Amino acid sequence: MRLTLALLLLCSPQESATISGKVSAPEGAAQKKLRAKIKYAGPGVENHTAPDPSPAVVWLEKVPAVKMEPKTVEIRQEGLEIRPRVVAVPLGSTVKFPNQDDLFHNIFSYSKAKRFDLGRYPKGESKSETFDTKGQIDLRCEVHDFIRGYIHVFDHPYYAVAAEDGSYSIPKVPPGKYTLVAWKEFFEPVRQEVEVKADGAKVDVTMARFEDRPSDRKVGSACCDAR
Amino acid sequence: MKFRTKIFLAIVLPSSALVAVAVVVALARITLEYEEQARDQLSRSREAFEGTITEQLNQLVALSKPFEGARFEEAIREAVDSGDLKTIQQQLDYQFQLVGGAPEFYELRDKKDKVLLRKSPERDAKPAPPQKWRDPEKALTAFDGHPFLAIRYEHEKGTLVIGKLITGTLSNLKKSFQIEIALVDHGTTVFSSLPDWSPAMGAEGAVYVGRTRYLAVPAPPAFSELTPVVFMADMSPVDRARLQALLFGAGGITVSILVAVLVSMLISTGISTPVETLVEAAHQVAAGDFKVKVEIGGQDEIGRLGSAFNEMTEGLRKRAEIMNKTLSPEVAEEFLKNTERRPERRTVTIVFMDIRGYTSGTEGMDPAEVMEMLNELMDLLSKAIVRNGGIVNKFLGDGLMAMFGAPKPVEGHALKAVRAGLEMQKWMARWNDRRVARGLNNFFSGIGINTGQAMCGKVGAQDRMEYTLIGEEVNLASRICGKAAPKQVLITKQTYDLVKDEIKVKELEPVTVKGLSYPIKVYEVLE
Repeated sequence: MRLTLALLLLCSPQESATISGKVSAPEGAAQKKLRAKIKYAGPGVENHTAPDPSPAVVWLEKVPAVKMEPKTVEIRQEGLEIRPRVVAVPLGSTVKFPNQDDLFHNIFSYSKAKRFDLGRYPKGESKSETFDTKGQIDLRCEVHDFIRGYIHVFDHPYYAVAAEDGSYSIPKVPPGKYTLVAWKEFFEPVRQEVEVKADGAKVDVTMARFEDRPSDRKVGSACCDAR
Repeated sequence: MKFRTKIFLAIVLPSSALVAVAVVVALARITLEYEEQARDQLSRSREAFEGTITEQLNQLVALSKPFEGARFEEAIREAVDSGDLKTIQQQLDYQFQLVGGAPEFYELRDKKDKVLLRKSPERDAKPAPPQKWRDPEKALTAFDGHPFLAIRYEHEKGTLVIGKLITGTLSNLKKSFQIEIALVDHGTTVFSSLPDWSPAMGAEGAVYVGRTRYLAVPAPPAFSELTPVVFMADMSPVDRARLQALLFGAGGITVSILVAVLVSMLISTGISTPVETLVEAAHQVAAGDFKVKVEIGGQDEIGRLGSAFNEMTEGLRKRAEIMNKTLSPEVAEEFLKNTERRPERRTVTIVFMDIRGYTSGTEGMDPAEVMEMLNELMDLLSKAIVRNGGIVNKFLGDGLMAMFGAPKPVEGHALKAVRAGLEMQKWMARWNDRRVARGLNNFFSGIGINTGQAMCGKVGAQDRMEYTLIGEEVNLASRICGKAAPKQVLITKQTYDLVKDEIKVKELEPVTVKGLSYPIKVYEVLE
């Protein structure tokens, strides 16, 4: 299949289509519970501002790697939250982590795709990390338990961060059959087979709930390495 | 009941009752005061225990805040997801170093209760089975048979438990409050300051460990998963105090018994024994033995009673002597037997004796001399009568009357009377010899003896009586006596008929006597 895809890509580079659709994520009791769990509480509450939206990330699974230009992205520690909350970058990208709060944060990750610990630093300072392995990186702050952030690293361009209303589009996809993965914080990832034709494809995804399996509950845990 | 027994009981019973009451009161006070103290002590110890444990728990909570945090959550996630324990171990070590030392117990389990990491005082202990995972609210618990204050940290991927061993705290509490503490986890003792205690011995109220009594109060704090937590106060001081009270009581009763024994012994030797002696002596006196003398010394009332008793017997003895002198013993006995005047008819032999020429012989003599002479003679004669079984019935100035066969029947009374008569004459002859030797004049007597029926009995007034014989045969004996020449013993035909085989006689001319119209046959007794 990969060979077919490669042939397709090689033979008709100008032929491309767009996958678009909408990710709907109706929240159930489990999601509300998880949300409640990470609700901000504790000292410094007056400095806390509402967290950024937590959009879904949609991508094609098991597509061959494509060499891409790395990016430099900024993830701020601001208002006792990580902003933006969800980021998707190409492999090799660098993320800057400036602290804009009047207190220390300590961003770290024990995710398999990237282990790092920024340590604590005051307002105005910044540290950066380069992400050389594809996958999902969960960001946590040692000082503030409730702070969450997610970085998705891809070795191909077929991914998209959905808008706040759940709509997304993955452009320039060669026609063919793919597996579409949708991820969203507080939900189980969803896999869906799609066939992309010359005029593209429209794929609406409904996130899976896991309230019936509380022992498997995850808060945005790394789910999928095939990106 | 003997007097000394009464005295013994009179001392022992009230004093023992007094001591018993004192002991009961003492025991009640000991129970009230000491038990109350023990309960107070237990209550204070319990508060101290809860306070100390709560304080330690708070410290543990404060120190262990990071264990709830993001780092542990992520490290546990990694450990559970990848099976690589390096990060979580690093995190634990780092955190323990920050708080200044590793706890005695920690354990990491995944959500399927698989143990990933563990540290325990019992290195080889198997982790508790899943169902024994503790109530997170209950910090006082046990792991591997040791008591712990433990906090659970529930993370998404696993649970971390950190426990602080409280053995030292418990030992300090024991020392500070001098109580015993035991912690039991579902029937298994996880801590006990009393090594010999086991839950089976009880956890409430009086508990005996060996021979020592403890007061036990089960008092698990609200946050305890252990059942029960027992506080025990050593009650042996109370028991010692009780024993002392009982010993004191026993001693008191013993002393009272000893005192009672002593007193009753004193009473016994001082009163009972003399009284018994007196009773015995009184019985003897009642039986007629007036020679009895009690020997009771001392100047006390009992001693004086003894002396008085002796005086009394002495007095009685004198009276009895007089009675024996004035009455014959047999007559006296007759009176003692019966004072009723009931006469009886009896065959007797009567002997009369009369001194011949008494009036002329005593003329010019000092009456005192006469009296002495008479006494001497009568003494001799009555002895002769008594020796032959007769009784001197009365002295008649210069004569006497004797009877044989009254008041008691006498076998062969006639013969005995005749022999007495002969003996009287013999003694009188010797007496005369002595008088001649002293240059004094002689006196001779005539004796008359008759045998026949006479009324025997007590005669006289109601308050003064004598025993006598009345009848013609008595009068005849007197008349015959009157007919007898000096030194002669005359007997009548009735007497002769009874003694003729034994006694030689010479029949005399029949005599006429006053009151009888016919002459009487008389015989002179010849040796």
